[in-house]
Amino acid sequence: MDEDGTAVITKPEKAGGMVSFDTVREQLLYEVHDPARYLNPDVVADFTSLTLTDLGEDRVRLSAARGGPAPETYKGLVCTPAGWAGELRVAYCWPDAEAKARAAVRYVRSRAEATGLPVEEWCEEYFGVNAYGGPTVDLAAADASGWEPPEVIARLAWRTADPESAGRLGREVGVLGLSGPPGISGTGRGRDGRPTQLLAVEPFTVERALVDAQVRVSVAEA
Amino acid sequence: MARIQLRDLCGVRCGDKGDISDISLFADDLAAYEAVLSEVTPERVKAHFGALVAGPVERYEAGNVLALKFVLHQALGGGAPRSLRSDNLGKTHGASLLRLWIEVPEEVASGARRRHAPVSR
Repeated sequence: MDEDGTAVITKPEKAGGMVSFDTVREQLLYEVHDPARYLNPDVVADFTSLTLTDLGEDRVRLSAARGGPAPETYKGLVCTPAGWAGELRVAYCWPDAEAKARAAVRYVRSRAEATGLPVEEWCEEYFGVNAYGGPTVDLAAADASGWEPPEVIARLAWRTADPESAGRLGREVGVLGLSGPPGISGTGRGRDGRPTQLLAVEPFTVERALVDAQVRVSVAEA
Repeated sequence: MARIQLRDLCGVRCGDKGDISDISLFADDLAAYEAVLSEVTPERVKAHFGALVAGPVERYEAGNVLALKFVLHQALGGGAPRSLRSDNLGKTHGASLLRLWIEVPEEVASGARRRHAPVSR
């Protein structure tokens, strides 16, 4: 930063990445809301006043930035408990993957209703359809093209006031595997990114006379 | 005039603050900036996002860097630590904005230079 307020943004020569007009303007406006009034503890910065000049070779000059007096207030954040969330993910393969995923979600929601579960909010998402884009995705055009996704993952999340209620619905899901729409599948081994142990399995036979048959049942629920 | 998807004309960067989704839209030259300035209004962005954004949409201009800033209120299902959405930070909202189709002068459309990434399988 020079005394006149100009600065050259750059990076160590051998470091990766890029410093250009594009990368600097992206960072300049990142999460600032009104770019003419970016509130800092010591200045209200006006990013619409400055000039960026790309000097090439990962150097961008910043000049003519202006600012106003510091705000009267600081920003604070307060967090308060807002309930508990539960969720399920279930995948279906082609054909009719989206229809099957939606049917599975309807089933789970109907179980919540039937068992009187106090759900305060639902969130349905269909990966492979429009889980992220929502209404911005032109599904009518996709349908008209005849395109059918090869697989769809349904994600259903719900909010309840207490953790017991949030956990209860997860136990209604198991029946989908045997009695729900066909083509159900898993969504992978991942559990919080932790490693999972793998087991090899080998079938074998054993002479009947060597086995003393008995049955013991034990049930444990997490 | 020509019809073009924002994806082919602009870059984007987005982030979150509380329940606000904050999207910057970047044009590559003055003609493209003027085209998006007249086409990508806050009303259009609000309608485009539909039920994803419950609150109002504000637009700010940063013509010095050929950018428009969109501030989408009540846009994240209550904010990152409260939201039930898988994209609780709105990190995909920029891409969703790029889905918008707009009308631009022919020379703006033919000058568009945002690339589609080739897929290698």
